[in-house]
Amino acid sequence: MIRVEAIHKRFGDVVAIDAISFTARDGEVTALLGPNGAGKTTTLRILTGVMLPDRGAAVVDGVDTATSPEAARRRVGLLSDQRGLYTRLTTRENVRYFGRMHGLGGAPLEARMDELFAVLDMRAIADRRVEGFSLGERLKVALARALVHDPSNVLLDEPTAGLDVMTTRALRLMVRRLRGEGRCVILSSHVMQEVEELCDRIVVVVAGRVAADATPEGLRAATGEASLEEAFVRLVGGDAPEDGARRGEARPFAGAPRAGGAEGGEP
Amino acid sequence: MTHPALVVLHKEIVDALRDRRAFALAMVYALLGPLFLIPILRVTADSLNRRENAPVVVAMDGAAHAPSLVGYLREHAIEVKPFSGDPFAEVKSGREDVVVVVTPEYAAELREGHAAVVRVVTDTSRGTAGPMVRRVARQVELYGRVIGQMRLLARGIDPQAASGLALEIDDVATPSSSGAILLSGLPMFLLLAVFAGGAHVAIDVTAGERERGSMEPLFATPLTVRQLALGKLGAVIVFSAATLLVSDVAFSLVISLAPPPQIAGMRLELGPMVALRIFAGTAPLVLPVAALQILVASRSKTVKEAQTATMLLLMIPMLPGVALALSPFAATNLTMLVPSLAQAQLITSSLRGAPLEGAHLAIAVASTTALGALLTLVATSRRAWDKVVAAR
Repeated sequence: MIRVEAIHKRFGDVVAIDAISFTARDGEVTALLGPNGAGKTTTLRILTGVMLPDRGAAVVDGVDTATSPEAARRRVGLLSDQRGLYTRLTTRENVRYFGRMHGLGGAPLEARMDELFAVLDMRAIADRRVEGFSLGERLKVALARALVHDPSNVLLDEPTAGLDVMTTRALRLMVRRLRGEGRCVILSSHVMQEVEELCDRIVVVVAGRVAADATPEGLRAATGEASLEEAFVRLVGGDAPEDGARRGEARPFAGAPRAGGAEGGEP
Repeated sequence: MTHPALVVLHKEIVDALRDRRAFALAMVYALLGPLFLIPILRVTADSLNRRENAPVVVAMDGAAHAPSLVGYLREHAIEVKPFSGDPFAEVKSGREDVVVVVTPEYAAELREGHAAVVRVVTDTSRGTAGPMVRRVARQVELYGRVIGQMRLLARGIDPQAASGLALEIDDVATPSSSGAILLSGLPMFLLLAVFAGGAHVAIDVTAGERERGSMEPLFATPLTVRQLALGKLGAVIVFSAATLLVSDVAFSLVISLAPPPQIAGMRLELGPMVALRIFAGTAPLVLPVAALQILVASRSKTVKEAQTATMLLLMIPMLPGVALALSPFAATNLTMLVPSLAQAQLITSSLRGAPLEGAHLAIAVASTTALGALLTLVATSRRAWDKVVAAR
């Protein structure tokens, strides 16, 4: 379980995260939905302890990422938006490297990798060098790498960006499987269809603030829109361009109505 | 469980060994010196030697008056061609480099026991004239000395009584210049190997990894910045030290198999023991250099920026080499405090076959290691890696 408690992060004059609070429960898929530059990636970075919040706290399974970042990271698997694979290493070497970082090794690590390669249907590329892999193959390697230490919390940053239909399907199956195993999954995305299909709970982030925190149905009901996309557009203020990015971030949140009825932040 | 820094070290070495460009580059720097310095030296020395001993033809006005002088010169590889005209005009115009003038009184002056005048007209501002006039003048003078000694003998005096001093000039121009090239060039190339051997790795594991976006997932593991930095530093050290070793061994092989021209008064040897001594003396430099490269590369925003900065670092090994070539100064306890300069001097003294100065070596190792430790602390600090960790 991941609890985010009123975190705030500023880069120079730019406020990346103004005040974000939400809880992602085990056995649920929680979406972080928002336009580019809304603060999704920064939030995920704070969850892994790569970045520290200026104020507030992120707590993973009861462990504060600021006070004991290493312990928190053991409980988290991250699929970053940049896959960042080592192209001169094979799939197995890439995954093994991260497994060893988590203190795994020897036969148990090899067994765990074989298991992951089977589940992700990637045995054919297990011993090939990553150089020249397709986007889909790269995603699988990155996913296996994120899951190698069997984390109870999984963070997926824009997992389906640039993927073909088959790989997207495989990924969705994997996400459902992770949820079925009782893990806490946080998925950042701006693909409405994916969010609607996969997520139990949606946290809409706009300009560094939580604009809504509800189930997909709750969100539709609260905004009075039939489709989730329309609901989202209303929440981000209608005119917020998809790639409005950085300049929107610095601006104080304006124009987007708080979703009435939707729970804001802390449960 | 393996220490995370060792996991990083192992991965980076495997990764770098598969990076053909990095590997080739390190090898080029390692073999640059042995493959080019020694052959160039040989060619230069050979051509100089040839010039020194090649027969030259010198114009002589009045050769008919001094047949024995002509004979003496011919014995010493100086051919004489007859000359008539104005020697000053001919030399000034550049048609002749050197004209030897023997006056008609020459023979008479010799007979009467006077010093016969032999005039040499030349223009030393012309590069070609200098070596030739030196050769001719020297032989003329030697011939004069021979005559003088014969005169003393004829009067029953030991010729040695006439010379209070026995001045012996050995022209060492060729060997000492090639020796200077070798003695300052070899340390420079070996230091260059230390700097260049790990440079590509240092850039690739810092700015390169950051550009490829693999830092972020890495820092989502329990790995700490210091562990990561230590592992990466280790990989740079391995490549830098390996390049130094390859370069050292290659120099040793090339010099042993094809000895360069002898240096007057000393034989240049680079056998296994000297090679070992050079490696031991130079190896401590690997630590500060690797730490400095990691520090500079991790502070750079892009690979390009890191390359520029690392290239500037390559100036460091050049400095002591250039300084020593311009004005050789002796190794003292003070110079041993300066990393890079200390190693250059240790290499030079190893090459000279000078006995190993324990104090010098100890000071050099201590000061270089201290600097290395300090740079390592800085290069593996969280602050130094801020840019790599946070930004993309």
